[in-house]
Amino acid sequence: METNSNFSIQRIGYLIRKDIWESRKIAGIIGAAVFGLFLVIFMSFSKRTDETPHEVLYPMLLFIGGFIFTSIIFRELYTKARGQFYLTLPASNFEKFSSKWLISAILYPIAITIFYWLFSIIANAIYTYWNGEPLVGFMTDWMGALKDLIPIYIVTQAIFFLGAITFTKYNIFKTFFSMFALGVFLMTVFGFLFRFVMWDYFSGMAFNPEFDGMPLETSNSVQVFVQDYVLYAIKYLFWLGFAPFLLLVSYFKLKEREI
Amino acid sequence: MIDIQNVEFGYRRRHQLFKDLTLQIPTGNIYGLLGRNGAGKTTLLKLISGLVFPKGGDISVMGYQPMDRLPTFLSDVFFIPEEPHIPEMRISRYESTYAPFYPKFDHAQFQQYLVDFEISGDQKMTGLSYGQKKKVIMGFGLASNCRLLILDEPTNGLDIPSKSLFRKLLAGAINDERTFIISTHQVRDMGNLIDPIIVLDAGTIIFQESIESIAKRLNFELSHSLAEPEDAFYAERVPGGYLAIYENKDGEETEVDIEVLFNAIVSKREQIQALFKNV
Repeated sequence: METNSNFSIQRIGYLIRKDIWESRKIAGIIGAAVFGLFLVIFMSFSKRTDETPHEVLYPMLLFIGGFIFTSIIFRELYTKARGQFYLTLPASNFEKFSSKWLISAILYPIAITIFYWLFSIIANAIYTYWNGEPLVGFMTDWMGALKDLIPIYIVTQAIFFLGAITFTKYNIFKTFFSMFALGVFLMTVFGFLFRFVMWDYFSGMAFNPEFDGMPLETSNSVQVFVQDYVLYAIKYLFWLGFAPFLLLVSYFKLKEREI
Repeated sequence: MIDIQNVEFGYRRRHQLFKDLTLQIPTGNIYGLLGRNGAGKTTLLKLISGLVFPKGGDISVMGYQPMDRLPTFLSDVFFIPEEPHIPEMRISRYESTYAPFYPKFDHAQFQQYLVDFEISGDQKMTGLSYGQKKKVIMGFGLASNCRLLILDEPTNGLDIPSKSLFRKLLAGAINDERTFIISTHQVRDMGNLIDPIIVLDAGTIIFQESIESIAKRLNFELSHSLAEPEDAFYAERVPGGYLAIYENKDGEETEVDIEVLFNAIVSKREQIQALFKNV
């Protein structure tokens, strides 16, 4: 094997294979437990309700399951012996980082989609046997939704990816707490900034752009600015900047990891 | 092979373990790294293998900065900690999973080590005894044919025949291209294996000499007298008398007792250092 470069697809493949092999048992146990639990929930759905079980179960598996899974993706680093072994394994920091990201952001959604598709076929067959008619199928109903949900998962899981490399215990809870604390902090800062910038358009703590003689065209231009520029910028920031930024921080955290 | 220059390191900002640590380790030997508990042996091994980063100074190992953890560097270094990680898989699976990371890995050599250690490749790693686990990891490390093999307390948990076999295998695996560093408290297990000897004390290298150089300068003699030898550099009570270290004035070499030497270096550091500087 060529080891002269810092990036080798082959080594990433070895790392992924290692992770899959090491996780196969726990994945099997959790998969079986989820299958049983989902089957119970699936059976409780009635054909008469507007909601299908897929609207509840698949996002639950994708997001909640994915965030939990991502939170422990760097579990090698949580114990001394395992961490030493992992960090001295001949692969570059970028290859180790890439393999973990590929597993948690790409392979996980693919694996659970296949898992859920198989589950829905079996569950629907059992449902049909009990109730005489099937519920709506997963693939017929949900192919469109997948292309919306999976990109959102790929972006948002970067938060938990960073949490996984930052914390060594209770990662998911610490990540949630950090998000909450950061959210409160940002809301407070931006709230104050907005209050001071828009000082003239506030009445006490109430924001009213048309209050106190503000011209209608000015009021409209603020609205247009918010809708056309701020929301647009936030949207692009979310899709293009948010995950890359968090992943970059995660990479450097892995690179600087000492055990 | 290893060049450590003025390295500073501490786990806490106020407590520095290494201040201005300098050490050169040429290739082709089995180095014995000795030191008391907390002297910094394991930390030094971690610095060499890139597991912790120096706060100051430079470390170069085979021309690489260990903290970069480049694959070319890592594929030529195998670090066996005192408590190695044992994945939940069969030995054969361990081999097929991890050997591809090491380009010079020799599968036939690994199988031979397993035969020597009387371990079957079908056995589950987690089902092995502590000593057996260590044997598998050591066999893997030797079969990786890395140029630098770092072993932290390798004989802990090994039975007496295994210690002997371990010495034999290590002695057979060393060549001019390779360097083994063994950090240990069990110096008796390492007799006739480690050479040169490096002694680390309170974050400083206080002694680094080959066995030949030690034998030329010091004599190790067992005195059957119950009175402590007066002209000895260092003497310690043993059953039936004293084991003493004298300056070798007549040029006749005796067998070096590493344990007594270590105790002498730690307790009579200045005298020993002066003797090795002067001659």
